[in-house]
Amino acid sequence: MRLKPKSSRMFLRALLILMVVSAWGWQVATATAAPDAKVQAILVWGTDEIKPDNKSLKQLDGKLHEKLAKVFKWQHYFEVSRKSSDLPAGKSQGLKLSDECSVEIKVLPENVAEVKLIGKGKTLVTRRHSLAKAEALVLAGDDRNNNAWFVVLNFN
Amino acid sequence: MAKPLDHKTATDVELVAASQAGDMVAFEELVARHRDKIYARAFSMMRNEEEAIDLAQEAWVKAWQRLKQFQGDSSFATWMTRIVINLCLDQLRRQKRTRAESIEQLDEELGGVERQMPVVASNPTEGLERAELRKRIDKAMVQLSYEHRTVLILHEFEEMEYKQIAKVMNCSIGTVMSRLFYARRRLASLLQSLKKEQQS
Amino acid sequence: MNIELKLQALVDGELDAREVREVEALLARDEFASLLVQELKWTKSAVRHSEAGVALPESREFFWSKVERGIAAEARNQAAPAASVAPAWWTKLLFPASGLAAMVAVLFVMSGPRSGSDDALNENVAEDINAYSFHSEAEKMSVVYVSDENADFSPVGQEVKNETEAEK
Repeated sequence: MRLKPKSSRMFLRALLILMVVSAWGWQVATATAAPDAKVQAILVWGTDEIKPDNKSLKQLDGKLHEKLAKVFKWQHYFEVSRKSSDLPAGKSQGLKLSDECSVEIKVLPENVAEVKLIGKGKTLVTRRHSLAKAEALVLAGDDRNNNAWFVVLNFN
Repeated sequence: MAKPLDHKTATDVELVAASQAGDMVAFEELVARHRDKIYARAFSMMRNEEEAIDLAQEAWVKAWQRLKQFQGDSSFATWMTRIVINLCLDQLRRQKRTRAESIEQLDEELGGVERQMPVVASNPTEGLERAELRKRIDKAMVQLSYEHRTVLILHEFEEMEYKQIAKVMNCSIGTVMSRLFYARRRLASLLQSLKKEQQS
Repeated sequence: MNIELKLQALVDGELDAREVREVEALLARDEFASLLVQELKWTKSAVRHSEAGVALPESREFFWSKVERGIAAEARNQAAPAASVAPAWWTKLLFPASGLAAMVAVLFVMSGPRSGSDDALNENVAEDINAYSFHSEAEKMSVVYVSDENADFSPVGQEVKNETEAEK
C-alpha cells in the first residue's frame, strides 16, 4: 500500500474547497447581478402651435411622432434634447435633459429599472419599469398654454 | 354555469347590468362606445376643448356613482347625455356670474330685437355640401349667447320638447320659446351674411 | 303667446288641434307670417341635420385612466366621513389586528421588487403632485402623466419655445 504525503492531501483538500467556494460565488454573482442595459432619453414638447423659429427644436422622428399622436391629443411634437447612456448594474446614472429637468436611472436586480424624474432639484416621480418587455416609459405632464412635455425613455 | 360576458360584443343593456353589478371592465366598454358623443355634446355647449374634456370626464364619474338609479326608461346614451348637459349648464351658470355681458347679449335678453330682423325666406344653405353646412352652422352658433345656443342644442340635437327644456334650463316655457325664436332668427340672419361673404 | 311664437310652436308641433287650425287660417291670409314660417322651417332643418361630429381628442386608455382615477377619488371621499363616527367597542379589537396586517404589508413590500403592471407598488410621486399612469398595449408604452394646472414644472425652457431676440 502506497501512502500520499500529508502535504499533498492538504493541498488537494484546499483545492477542493477553493473550487467549491468559487463555484458557489460564481453562482451567486450571476444570479444577483443586474444585466447591462442602455437607455435613450428624449425630451419632447407637445403643442398645437406652429413650430417656433428656433434651431434648438427639431422635428421628432416619424415613428415616435406617430406613437405619441395616437395616445395624446397635441398636433405637433418637437424634440428638445436627447441623451443616451449605458446603465452600469446597481449604479445610479443621471441624464440632464434641460436646465430644469433630469432623470436618474438605476437598474435593479430582476431586470427592473428605477427611474426618477427630477425637476428643479426635487424628485417628482419615481417609477419602476420592467426591462423584460421592449416597451418605452413615457413621463409626461402639463406645460403652460395648454402644451405638454414628455420624457421618452427607451431601454435595450 | 353562466357564460362570461363578452364585453366587446355585449349590448349596452348587458353592459349596464354588468356595470351595476360592479364590473368596471363593462363600464369601460360603455365609456369607449359613447365617449365621443358625450364629448361632442359638451363641446357644442361649452365651445372650449379643455372644459368639454373635463366635463365629459366628470359626467362619466357621476354616471358610475348613479348607475343604480338608471332604470332603462331611456337609452343609456340619452341618460348619459342628460348628465353631461346638466354639468355643462351648471358650469355655464357659474361662468355667467363672472363673465362680462356684451351689449348684444343684453339685447338678446331684453327681447324684441329678433322682430326687427328681415325675414330670410329663401334658404341660404340650400345646395351646400354637408361638411360646408356644418362649418357654417358651427360658425354661426358660436356667435350666439350660451342660453340661445343651449336652447337650440336641446331642441334640435336632443329633440327635447319645450317643457323638458324649461325643466333642464330652470326657466319658464315662455322663456324657452322666446330664446328659441331669437336663436333661430339670429342664425338665419348670420347664415345669410355668411352666404353674402362667400359670394363677394 | 304672441303670434310669432305661435308660428314657431306650429313648426315645432307644440300646438293643440284648435291652435293649429287658428294658425293655419292666419297663414292663408298673411304673407309675412307665411314667409316667417318658411324661414323657421329651413333654419330648423339646417341645424337639425348638421351637428358637427367631433371626436374626443384623447386616446381610449388615457381618457379612461382619468375617469378611473375620478371614480377612485370619489369613493375615497365618500368613505372618509364614515371615519368621523365614534368607533364601536369592538373596533378596539381591530387595532392589534390592523397593526399585524401593517407589519405583514411592510414585510411584503420589503421582500423585493416585482415586475408587472401594479402601478400602485411601482410608482411614487411627490406629495404636491397629482399623477396618473396607464399602459398602451397598442403603442407599447407605459405612461406616467403629471397633472399640474399651474404648470409649475416646465422642463422645456422658454428660450426654446420662443424665437430668440437675434432671430426676430
